[in-house]
Amino acid sequence: MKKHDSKLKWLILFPIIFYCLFLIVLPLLYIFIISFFQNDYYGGIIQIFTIKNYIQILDIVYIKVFLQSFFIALITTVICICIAYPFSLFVSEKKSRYKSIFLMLVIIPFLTNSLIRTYGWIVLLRKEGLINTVLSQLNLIDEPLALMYNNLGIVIGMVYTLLPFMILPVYSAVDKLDHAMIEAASDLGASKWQRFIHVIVPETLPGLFNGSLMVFIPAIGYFFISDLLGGGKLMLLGNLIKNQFLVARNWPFGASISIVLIMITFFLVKLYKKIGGKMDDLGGF
Amino acid sequence: MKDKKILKNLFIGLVLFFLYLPILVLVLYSFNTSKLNILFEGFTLKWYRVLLENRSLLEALGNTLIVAITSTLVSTVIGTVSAIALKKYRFFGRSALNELLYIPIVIPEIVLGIALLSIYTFFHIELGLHTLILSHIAFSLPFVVVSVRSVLNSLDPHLEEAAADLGASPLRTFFHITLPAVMPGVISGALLAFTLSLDDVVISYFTAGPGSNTLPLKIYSMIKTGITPDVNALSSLILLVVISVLTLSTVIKIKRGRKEKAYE
Amino acid sequence: MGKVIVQIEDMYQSYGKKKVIDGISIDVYEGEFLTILGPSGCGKTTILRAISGLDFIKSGKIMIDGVDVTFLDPTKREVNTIFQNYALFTTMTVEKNVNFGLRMKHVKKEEIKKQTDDMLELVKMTEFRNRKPRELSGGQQQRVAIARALINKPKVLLLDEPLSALDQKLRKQMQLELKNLQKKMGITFIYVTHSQDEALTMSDRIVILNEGKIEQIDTPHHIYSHPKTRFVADFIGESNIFDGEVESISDGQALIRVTEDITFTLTSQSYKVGDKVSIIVRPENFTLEEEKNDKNLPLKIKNHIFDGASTQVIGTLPNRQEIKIELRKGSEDFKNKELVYLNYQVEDLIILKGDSREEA
Repeated sequence: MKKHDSKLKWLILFPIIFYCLFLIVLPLLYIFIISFFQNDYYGGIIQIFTIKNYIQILDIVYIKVFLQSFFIALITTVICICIAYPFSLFVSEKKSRYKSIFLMLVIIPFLTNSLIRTYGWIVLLRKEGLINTVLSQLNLIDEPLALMYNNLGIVIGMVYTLLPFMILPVYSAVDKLDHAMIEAASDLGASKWQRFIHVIVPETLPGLFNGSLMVFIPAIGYFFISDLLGGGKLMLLGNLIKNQFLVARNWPFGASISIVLIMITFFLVKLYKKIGGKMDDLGGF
Repeated sequence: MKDKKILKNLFIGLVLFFLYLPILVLVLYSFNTSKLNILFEGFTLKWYRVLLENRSLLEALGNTLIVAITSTLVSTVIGTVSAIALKKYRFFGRSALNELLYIPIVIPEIVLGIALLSIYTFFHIELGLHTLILSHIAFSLPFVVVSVRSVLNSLDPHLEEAAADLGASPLRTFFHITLPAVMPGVISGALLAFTLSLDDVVISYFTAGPGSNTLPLKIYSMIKTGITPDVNALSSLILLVVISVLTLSTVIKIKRGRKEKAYE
Repeated sequence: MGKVIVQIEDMYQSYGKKKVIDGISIDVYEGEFLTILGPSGCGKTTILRAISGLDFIKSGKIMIDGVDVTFLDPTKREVNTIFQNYALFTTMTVEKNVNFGLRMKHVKKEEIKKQTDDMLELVKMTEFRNRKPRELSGGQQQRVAIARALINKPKVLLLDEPLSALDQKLRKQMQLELKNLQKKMGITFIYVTHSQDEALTMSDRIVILNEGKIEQIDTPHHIYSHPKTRFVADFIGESNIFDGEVESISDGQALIRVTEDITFTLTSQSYKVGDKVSIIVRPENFTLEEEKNDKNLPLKIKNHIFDGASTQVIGTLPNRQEIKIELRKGSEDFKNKELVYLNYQVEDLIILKGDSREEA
């Protein structure tokens, strides 16, 4: 190779290498390092090695936050699957023109800001909100239902905000399914239910897992939904990290939680790869 | 058979109703005379007028657009060139680079947010529009790379060689052969970057400084203190723009699809 | 012939507004290798889908082994299908693919194991039992598809262009394998193809299908030597077709005039003057002569192609009609000739009465 070519190559690659170093590697490395430092009472960082931040996570208070977060994220994921899977199956049976229209209809709300939509839910769900007003006008309820400022509100908000992230990968997996395979299964005597369990689900599993990743991981971190629809009552990991950085100003502890979260994410991604998922499908809508 | 079809359509309808419910409510109340947003009292365009006078809201909208457009442009240019370069060149650290690019896609946004905040603080970079733009580039660039790469992978690997063989210079090959071929990936990557930027709450929350409020952040603080219907009006206008752009692109897509079918 | 295993009676099928099968009836006998042959889009696959139950027919009746299955679910029919691209389950191993049918019927574990072993042995896939379909070659995938179907001991095996995805050489080999398997197992095969070569080599009987209608059902030999319609003559093998009219009849001999200088003399069987007649001559049934006589026809040679076993000669008659001739030997003699004379044996002529051009 000529020397000139090699120079050009590095010139072209410079921006992406710079990007990876300064916007990915360095920030995460920095977080990793300070997670082993101590903090002082004024929100500063003392450069003394300690593993106390990680031990602190094992405190029952924080274990509870982890469990609550995973619980909410898991419920959100399961509900999203229950909605997205049949939706995708039914839409994939439509003619191709209707398919693109339905998909477009799914994408549109996801293109308007999620906070605006969350605000829409507040208008609907609050005590004197639309749903309660309509129900009491119809004399169906005596007292307003508690639809938000609780876990129900958080789950509604999470499912709503993250549903498109489940529908898109699941739909693309379902739509790619070879119809002949399902026919082959019924030809071989598999009932409708058996076809679903033995053929359709395994064949679309990577898409299903892809969607679950794209729902589960953000659901752990979306602090604004639990802030707004949960009324700040339920502490999720996102809220915890946010508080450690902006309120309690204990950066090392916040950093250690973030590192644990990254580890969990990497573990889930590894699992996804193991069942045959492709990395490039994760960001591809 | 028929009943089943009705049930299926009903399900599709219900899901779409769920997705549009809060949006419809917002649009509806943007025309409501009552400020309290409970019952619909009468039709008015008042809030659209109020919106035009709401400086801080419009400023936030302006910031949002500046950040989204700048970060999308930068991400798209770097992302496209890098995707092609990463495919074409063999060099030390290539596979590491490829792996690194997935990190912003998979890790929770909040982690990237606080990590960026930390590093800005470490380097004593004051928070403002510039850090916001940088942060938005940080999470949207990998999406562009992935999107362009997926098109690249479906291309004929000998395309560039053929062009070079016919005497085209590398620059000419890039602009006349490679770039047009990957254009669909570039466009969908850019659209994705733009939407992600418009929609982002979490990362902006940590990396925006005083005076660089974006629309989501503004709305976030407004929801906590008390929202006025001019926000509804603004949301409705944004929705209108989004729907018209998407309808147009879908119509074009369907028409093109029909044409291709006709050629078959 | 044995008993009828599949009976299709007056079947009609349409998808949307498009009529695909336009009233056909077929009896398939137990243990036979029946091929449905026709150009693409003629409705072959539709018939298979009707038998397997993947589509219900619009009208008519389908019986399998004496039972009316017209409205029976595919899962309950004792037939199995080899799909065009095999439709193997990509997430399952070869073994799981093969015993899928048994697992769905909740057969006992030991029984499944035994039958799977036997089946894998039969198709010589034992050593690949733990592979996934994408790790197999085309031929191996084909074998898995066959094993997956046969393990259910179907009364009839339906094969939908099963060799079309394979390359030429493998196709020849699989033709033999399929035929041997069918003989060994004694299972009725209904085989769909658009390749006349496959149909002629493997089948006991062939159904020629065209635009949703049956043109002819017969043995391969009969189909070739006695095509009943112009379509069949044209579709199976090469044909030279002459369309003419009975000009005169004398002494039980009918004179058929094709053009001014081309006539054929046939033994009259009930011809009337003015009847339309099509005469079909297979390329190998022509002979070439150097001298003119009152029967042979003048031919201008255009091409002369030697391919080892035989020689193809292409020439034109005075009316510019192109003629194909296949010569077994002695063709060297005509190599440098420009004008020769075309002769034939009257008993080799295939005669279709009526104006066959209308139906074609």
